[in-house]
Amino acid sequence: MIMRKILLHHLLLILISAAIWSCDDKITDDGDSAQATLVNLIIEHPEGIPDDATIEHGQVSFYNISNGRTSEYGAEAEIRVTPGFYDIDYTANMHTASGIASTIRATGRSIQISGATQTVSLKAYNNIESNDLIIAEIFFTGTLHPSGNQYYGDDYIKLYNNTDHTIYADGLTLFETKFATSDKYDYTPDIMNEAVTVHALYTIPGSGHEHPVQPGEYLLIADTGIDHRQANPNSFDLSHADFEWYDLSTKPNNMDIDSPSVPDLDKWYCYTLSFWTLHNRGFKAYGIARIPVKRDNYLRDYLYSYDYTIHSAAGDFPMTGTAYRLPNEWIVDVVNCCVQAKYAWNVTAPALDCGWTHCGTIDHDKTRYFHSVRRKMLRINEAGNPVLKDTNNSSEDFNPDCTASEIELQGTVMDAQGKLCTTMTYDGVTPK
Amino acid sequence: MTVMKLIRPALIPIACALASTVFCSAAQTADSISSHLIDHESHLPQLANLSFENPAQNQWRWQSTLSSVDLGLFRTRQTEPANPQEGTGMDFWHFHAASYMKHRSSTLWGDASYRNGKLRQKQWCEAVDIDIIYPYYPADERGGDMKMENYSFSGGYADHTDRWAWGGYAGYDAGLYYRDIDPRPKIVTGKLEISAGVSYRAGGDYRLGVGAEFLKYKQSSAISFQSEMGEDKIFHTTGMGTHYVRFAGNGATTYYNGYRYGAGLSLIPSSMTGFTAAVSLRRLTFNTILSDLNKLPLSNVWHNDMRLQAGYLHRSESTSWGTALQFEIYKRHGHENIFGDATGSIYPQIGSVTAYADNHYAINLSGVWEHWISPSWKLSTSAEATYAHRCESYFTPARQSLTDQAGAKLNLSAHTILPHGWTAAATVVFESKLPVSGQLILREEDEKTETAPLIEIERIRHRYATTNSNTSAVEAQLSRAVTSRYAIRISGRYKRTVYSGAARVSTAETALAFIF
Repeated sequence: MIMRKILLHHLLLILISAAIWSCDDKITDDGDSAQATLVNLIIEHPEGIPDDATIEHGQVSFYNISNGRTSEYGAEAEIRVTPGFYDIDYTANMHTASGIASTIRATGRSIQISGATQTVSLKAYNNIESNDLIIAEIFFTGTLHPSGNQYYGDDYIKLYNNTDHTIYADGLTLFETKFATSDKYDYTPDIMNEAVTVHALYTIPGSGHEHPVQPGEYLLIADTGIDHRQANPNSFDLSHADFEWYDLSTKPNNMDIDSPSVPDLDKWYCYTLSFWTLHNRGFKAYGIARIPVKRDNYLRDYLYSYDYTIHSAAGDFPMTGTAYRLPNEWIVDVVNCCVQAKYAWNVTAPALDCGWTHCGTIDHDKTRYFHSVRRKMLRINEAGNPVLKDTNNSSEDFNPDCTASEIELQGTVMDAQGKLCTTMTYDGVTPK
Repeated sequence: MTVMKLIRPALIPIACALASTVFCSAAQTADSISSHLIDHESHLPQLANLSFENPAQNQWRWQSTLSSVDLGLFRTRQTEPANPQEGTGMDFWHFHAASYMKHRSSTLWGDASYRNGKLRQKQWCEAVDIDIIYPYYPADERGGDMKMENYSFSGGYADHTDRWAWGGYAGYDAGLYYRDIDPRPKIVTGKLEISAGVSYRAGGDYRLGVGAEFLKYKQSSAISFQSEMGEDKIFHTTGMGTHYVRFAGNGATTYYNGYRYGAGLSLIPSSMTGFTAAVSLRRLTFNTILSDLNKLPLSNVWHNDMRLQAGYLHRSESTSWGTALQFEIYKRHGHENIFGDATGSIYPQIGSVTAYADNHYAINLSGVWEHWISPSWKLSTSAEATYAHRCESYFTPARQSLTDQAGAKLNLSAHTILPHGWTAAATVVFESKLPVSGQLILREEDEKTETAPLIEIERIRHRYATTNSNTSAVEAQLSRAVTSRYAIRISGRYKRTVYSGAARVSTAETALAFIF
């Protein structure tokens, strides 16, 4: 009798378990809807849009930062995404009856989406159309000695005239941001929507009409304008550079080299007491600006002091810092760089650059050497000049991990194994 | 009936004496160590193995004392890995000591082992014990062989009175796995198991037991690189060909911290003759932690399982038989944690999403028949039929593997007690698995990404789960009693599985044992 009761209890347990657990956790037909959040996206269009303007072809993309998945929707579509942490990008075309056309953009970064429904508001802005030089290439990684050690001094930045008219480079300031794209802190006061925080400023000398750049021409700004093959057979010649940045080092062990054949940029300010090089893993943003005030006035009036807190396992540490600020209106072009494994944020306003580009994918990635980021070519125009892509989104505008253009042009070593470059491209991808 | 039970043990030596002189002399020698050896080869207790997980009930498993010390070799190879994350096989040598001792009303059992060898060609997984921690592994695109060392120690004790029985068990298993070329994982595992139980004589010789178990599991995997040509990117897989994109390239040290709690109810006749039934419920939870990122809790998992077993056993000196029906079901959910922007390398957790699910059930009907056809010959056979269902899902992007499989297994054994203290045994096993149905959905697969091989691994796993396979195995043992209390045994086993896709798995093992 007892046995029978026990067996009946067992049978009951089987039935209970079957009822509770026999249903499979299956995917749904549309994949997302099981735990999806309905997103009510509100785009606040910029002020000053003409009454007769038509905004059409709106597209919004949701990039899930956790799993790398991008979901794209039309402007009128119902948006359902898995709860998570998202970067949101909105673009639309604007036309007016008078024929004015422009692109409306809105960007949201690190947006947390959760719950059954969520409203997200984004402020849109008119895409800034460049009528000045743009950054065509940044070679920040450098090269390696045959021994495998890092060689310093052959980094460079190339500017390009993407317009149909001559542009004078005089007074254009090259800068590096103070904040790193790999380390995010809550800097207060937060001035990112008004200015870029910088700690290195070098300006092309000239009275205004001394350094013309013709349409389709490049302007090469080198760290050190010498033939680097003399010091490192794996490097290349930069003695033909248009300018170099030179620092009068106060550190006898770390002296900069001043090329006699290449003119120096005017050094406005740099944080280092030795010499400046581009961050060789590219954890900064680099840009060019036209500063409408004199150097001394700028250095006097645009100092920026900020506070932030370092949170660590050992506790919280309040910190302070100082740098210079460059108002966003002065910025001509800026490119955020990082590697995917370390990327934390963009250190400039989305209106200036809402993406980022890279050489290598992980920190200290040794495959990054000899590579640069190069702006994509859209087409060849009637004059035979490349037209480069410039949408203020470095993720879209740049080809990452490209062989540096100077290595292609000079056919020098393109990797740590000493292999010579035999290819020639417009943008690191499109062959010539 | 009671009288028969009392005199039955005494009849066996008498029967031996009446047998032929050859058989008789053999049986007299075998009455001690050799017969214990053969008794402990019986498959009958397997029909109630769920009951024996309760240490209080484990004292009814065997009627005799037997201890062994083994030194052996093991090797398995696959022509194509059924799961590349597990590798193509392993080789190891091992030292193993096991004991099951009875003294008056007490039973003491223990186990100690050391294994040293190599895991072959593990791909896209720099972790071990993946049946516990799946689907969250650190991974790189190179992988390779991995050296291994494994130690385990366990012991249990049980005792009983006429009404009550009680028992306890504790075991610890430690492993060290490493590779001395890049990428260089160093994996350390630790598993502590504790269980205890009591049982009550519910009527006749039926023992109704209740038991509880606890398991603490940990694993750390630290991957380093020494090549001057750079490092590989470390990925963190999240199941069904996906990985945690945000932390790809970060987090070379992964730590798993898990606990399992369980409880069971069992009913077993202490004579091993009668009905048996058992139910066990367990819950495993573990976290996957990236130690390098301020102990970032990447994911957590819960895994609930329930096992039921019911059957009938009959053990006697001449013929033992039994049958059992076993049902097991589990459900596993993997939750990926979502993190906000890092501030000073500390990622605040802002949410969690259930991303992975694994559902499984299996029903198994098995039977055992063992018979002494003469005082020196014992024939055994066991057969089982299994039906298993599994549904593994990843929700976004939508991926799913559904498999239903049926299988049958037949085991035939012969044991003989030979003159001069020799004992021999031979076993053949045939097993066949047939797919009943299968479906694989892999949405948003991109062959151009650097983690495309993870998708291919899912295809391989599904293909092997839905392919018919035939396994055959032969096993032979030869032992010689040195005295009435000591014996030496040499054994060998070869097993070969052929999948319809022509892939093969071969396993060979041999051991030399001292039995006492």
